[in-house]
Amino acid sequence: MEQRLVPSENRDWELVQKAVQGDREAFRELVEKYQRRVLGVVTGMLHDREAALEVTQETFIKAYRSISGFKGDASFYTWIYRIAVNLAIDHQRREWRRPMADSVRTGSGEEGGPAESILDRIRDDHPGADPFQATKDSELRDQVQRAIDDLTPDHRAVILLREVEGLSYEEISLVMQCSKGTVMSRLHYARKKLQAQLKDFV
Amino acid sequence: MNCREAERLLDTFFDGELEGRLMRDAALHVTRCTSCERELQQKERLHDALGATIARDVEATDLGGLWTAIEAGIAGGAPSAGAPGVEGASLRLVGGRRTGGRSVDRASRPSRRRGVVARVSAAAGMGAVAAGLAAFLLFPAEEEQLESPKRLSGAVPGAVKPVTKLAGKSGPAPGQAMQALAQAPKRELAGGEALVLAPDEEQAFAPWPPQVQAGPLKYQGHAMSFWPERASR
Repeated sequence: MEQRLVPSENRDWELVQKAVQGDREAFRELVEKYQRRVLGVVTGMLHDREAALEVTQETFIKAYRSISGFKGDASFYTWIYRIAVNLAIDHQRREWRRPMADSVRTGSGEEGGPAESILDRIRDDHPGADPFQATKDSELRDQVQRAIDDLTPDHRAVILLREVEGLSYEEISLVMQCSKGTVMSRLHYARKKLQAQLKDFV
Repeated sequence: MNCREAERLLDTFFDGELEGRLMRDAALHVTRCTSCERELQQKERLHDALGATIARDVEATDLGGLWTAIEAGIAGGAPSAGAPGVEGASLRLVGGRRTGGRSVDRASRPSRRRGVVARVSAAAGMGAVAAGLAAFLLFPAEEEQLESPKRLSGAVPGAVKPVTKLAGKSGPAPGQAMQALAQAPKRELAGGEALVLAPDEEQAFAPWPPQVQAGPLKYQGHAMSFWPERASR
């Protein structure tokens, strides 16, 4: 698909071409530009900070190794998102196959693990904040994360790419390698499900 | 546009993906319909909640060492341990290598178990320290007894061992101990010097191993038995 590149994408294309020649510093610039955005999608999909970091790291390593295959017919970030989403879905499938005891997650606060109390998190996140509001916020975050976890990986990826990363339907269809109609349908379904699960909060 | 038609388009309208006439019609409908307006507000709150939840996790993550780990992975020599400079042990090298459909690093993923083992070991260590402290507090005399031979036996190794007078415990009377000391053979130190023990030492020294005197025990001329009932049978 032929697309007109905006200036930042032109810069990305220059960096990609340098990286293809083996310029690690150019690739580093790309990593630093997109690492947080990739991590955002992967964190939303996996709900496990440690695993999200692993997948983000693996995404960029894989991108570097196959960067010569990137022809510039789409934005670099849609290409890198595609790798990240596919790796996150693979990771999740592997986790589902693993025995329950082995897949205990650390939750949002990895140091404390699942046993970390809400009060501990509130103290960490909102030092000196109104405890009532902080508890409410914390509960909302837990509910949101649980609702996201209940979506299928494809629905989860679509809603995160749209709501968190702000990608257009066209870009999402490139990342997910599906039609725009499928993107719209998945978005509609995911939103309905999230709204139903979070009706007491939103 | 009625509610039924608008409902199908609300997601697309909310995302700004409607074009031309449809966009204008949907916008007009929403300004007049409280139900659809409420639906749009729900989508807005959902958007805010999703953004806040994910942003919080991402912002809290330190990405300072990510490039180091990626660079090591690119180089191909990715060890399974954490990359240097990556704090918190939350980031490990995966290197993109796989065995049996699972990354090398995840196949050997003992981090949480290792944490548990470390905690158990630490607890055992703390227990040992607590037991030692309790023993010290409960039996201070034993502690003193342990310390004295180390100091004295350094002068003449294996020659004599101190007998500390312990309250409430049996031991030789001071007179008997001095008598035994007088009968004990003299020991010479290397260099021809003799070990001199002052008679007014707090501790009395007896030959080691202690000589046990066999025979009936008497008190004021009468034979004594520790177990009179058993002796009378």
